[in-house]
Amino acid sequence: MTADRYAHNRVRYHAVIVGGGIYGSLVAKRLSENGWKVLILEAGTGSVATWEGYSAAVDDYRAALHKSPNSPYLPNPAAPSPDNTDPSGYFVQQLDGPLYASDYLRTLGGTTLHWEGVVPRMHEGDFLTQTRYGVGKNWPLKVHDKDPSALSPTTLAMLHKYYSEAEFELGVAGDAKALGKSGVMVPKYTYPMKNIPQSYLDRKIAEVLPEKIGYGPHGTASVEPNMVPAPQARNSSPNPDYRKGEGFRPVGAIGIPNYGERCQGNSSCIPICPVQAKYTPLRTQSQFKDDLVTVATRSVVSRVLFHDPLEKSRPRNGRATGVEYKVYEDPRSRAFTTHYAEADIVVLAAHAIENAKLLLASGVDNKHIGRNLMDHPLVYAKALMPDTRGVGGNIGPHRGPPATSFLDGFRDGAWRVGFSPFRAAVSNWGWGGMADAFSHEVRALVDEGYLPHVDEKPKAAKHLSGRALRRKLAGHLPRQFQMELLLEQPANENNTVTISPDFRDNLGNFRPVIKYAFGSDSDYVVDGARHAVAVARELFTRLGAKEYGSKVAPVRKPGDEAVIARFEDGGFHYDIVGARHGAGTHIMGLSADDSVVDEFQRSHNHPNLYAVGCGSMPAIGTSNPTLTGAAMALRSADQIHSDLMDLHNTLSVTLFEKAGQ
Amino acid sequence: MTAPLKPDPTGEQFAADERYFVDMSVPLTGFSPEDLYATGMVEEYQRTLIARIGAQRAADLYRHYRKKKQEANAKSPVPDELPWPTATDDPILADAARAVVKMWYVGAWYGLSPAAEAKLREAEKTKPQGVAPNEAFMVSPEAYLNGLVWKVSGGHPPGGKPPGYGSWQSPPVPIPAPATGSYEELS
Repeated sequence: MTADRYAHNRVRYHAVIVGGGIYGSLVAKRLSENGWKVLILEAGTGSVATWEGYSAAVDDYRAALHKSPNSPYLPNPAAPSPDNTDPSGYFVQQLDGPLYASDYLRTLGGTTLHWEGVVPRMHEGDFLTQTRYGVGKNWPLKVHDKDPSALSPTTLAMLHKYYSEAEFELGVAGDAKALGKSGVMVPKYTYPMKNIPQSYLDRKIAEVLPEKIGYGPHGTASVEPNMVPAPQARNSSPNPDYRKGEGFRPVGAIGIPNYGERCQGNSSCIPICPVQAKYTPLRTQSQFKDDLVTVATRSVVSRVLFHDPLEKSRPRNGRATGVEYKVYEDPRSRAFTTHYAEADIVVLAAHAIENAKLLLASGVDNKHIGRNLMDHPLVYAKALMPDTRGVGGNIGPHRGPPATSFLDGFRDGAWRVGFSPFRAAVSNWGWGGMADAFSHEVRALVDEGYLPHVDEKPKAAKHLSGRALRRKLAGHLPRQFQMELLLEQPANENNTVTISPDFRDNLGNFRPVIKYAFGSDSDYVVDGARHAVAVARELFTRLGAKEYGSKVAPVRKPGDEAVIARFEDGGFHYDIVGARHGAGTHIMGLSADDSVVDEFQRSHNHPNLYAVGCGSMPAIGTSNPTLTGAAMALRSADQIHSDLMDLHNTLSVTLFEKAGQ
Repeated sequence: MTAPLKPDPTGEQFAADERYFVDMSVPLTGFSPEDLYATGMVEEYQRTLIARIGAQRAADLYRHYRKKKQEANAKSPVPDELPWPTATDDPILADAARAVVKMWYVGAWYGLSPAAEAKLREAEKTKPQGVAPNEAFMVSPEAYLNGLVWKVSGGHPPGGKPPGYGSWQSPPVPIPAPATGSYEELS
């Protein structure tokens, strides 16, 4: 381990990485593969990184009354995580306005422990929304010589290269041919694993899908919808054709390397896969070379240092020298010791909001830090399949992964000048999607005698029990399904993460102060949501299904899920919630005048400081961002390798291509 | 365990023989004794009920449902739900019965209403049966996995009892309808 505070028996690393989540783990793995010595500092504990610890988390999830995404993972006051049902518990934000409505997880493995595992690539248009549609911000990538609204062939090749490398690291199952033009892709590409079957419900919908759907204001945009299989980072069967016949071998479970299951359909990917069929960063960590990668948990980085605290005479030259971090023994205690880790390269990989916090706490002089906080606004449309008094209405909710298909065609098009595009998924998990959702129906019937959203609430409470209760539930729950409509939110400088000496956690580290709303983009997002809901309704009609929802404006009570905004449409009140896709707090761009990092996620201000992850993204389109983040992290790792080769003045440096340059 | 059930068990007798709890759970849940035993949860739920309201009150609840079940079985057609203990007679038992139903379906003890809970605390002062505070909690990880709700949902409990790779592409299995006719009696 590293030196005690300001002691002189220090160890120097080639790179110190802040955060043991997906991006930090991918960077560490790749750097160590090139022989570099890496230290990962993880703020949380490593309690789920063993078979026993992971199994205990599965049990804790089963035993949790409220099965929120963070429910399997122990609360940690020394490195707190935000919670959607308590939106000002860790975050500092005003509760009477729009709320930043997403959580993340600070423990070894990070938020990607409880991710959905759906990994679409971004569309070419998503990288150039400003040029193409006058919306949001462009990615600072090289565009085509003759057409500034298209990416250059080298950029497309770079994206494809890193996307496919990320798909290798994550072990993605998919059918590239069926995906067609959905995202940046080259022809004849093969995913590492075979496609995961589409659900029975997906097939039911595909059967009634029209060739064209009129979409947008007065149906002005005509879209040819397609139920494409969703690429997913969970085990199916390895594809023997992968990499021209090389094949693919998935990584086994943590602590039991020879135990590696295909997806068994546990239907609990969010928040935890009991058999570890879904990718988590723990898999990447299990491939670390022990002699090159040190993982230190319970080590909360408080700031990046630009001087040498052990050798005050060392000149300051704008380079990061390392990080200061606090080590705690007991998560419940306020006691900690302070340490210093020294490195050639510092990589922040701690989540968009935590990265912004650290850049601010470190005094990095860039006015764009913490601005442009984004998320994917998410809307659910709920429906019941027709009651055919038999199996016909039963679509079997809670079978399989949450989304096995996308309703594609609405993610990119000329309409993006006026309103947000959307990515629709058919949720296989019933209303609400979470495992405790059905308890609401049971409790409402037993305590009050009615089904929420479906029946009128009786004036005097009735109570159902016995065969009557059983029959009522069996006639309702199996018919529940919902469309998940994921929208684009353009970057907006007024959505901010800041820090204040007034708001600190138990160890004296800053709590993120958040200001977040759709603001001037409200029409863009909400109009997009209305048009998306209209498409969902069209499908409901074709299925003979009936839409249900809240007919009265809900009022947030303590303990309720946080909501960004609400709107009314067709007699129903819809909540727009967060998708846990926090992004855009240290966006990439051309210079410090317009952004925080460059296209390699390297600080414009400090040449050896990187901030990786979704925080670097100037736009996230309608793609779940983890795959793109992983691709960009691998690209950064290649650039860091090149930087380190330069720094260490290795003779062969010229032989190494700089990443993507 | 073949001795017939007593019509009027004491708290000790109720606690010593799980058949009392199963017998009253049949009309409360609408499931057969075999279904209830097959969850593996009988004894844990019985203990949970006793710990939260006391053994004697649990035995009183049994007596209520034994009587109502016999009345129902004499009717034609047999009604598909039985009268609850009335709130005016005994708000504690009325709420406890509903808590038992929810426990069987969801695996969680949701406790009593504030009014019934206050009555319970009051009653404990004069004739204590020794009861734990009524906070909502999941009885155990297994209780969640064995909730009856998953037998009528068309699916399975998320995070357990997985139906196997690719099973989600097939139509779900039909859900059996509840029985009609007389309620089973375990005596």
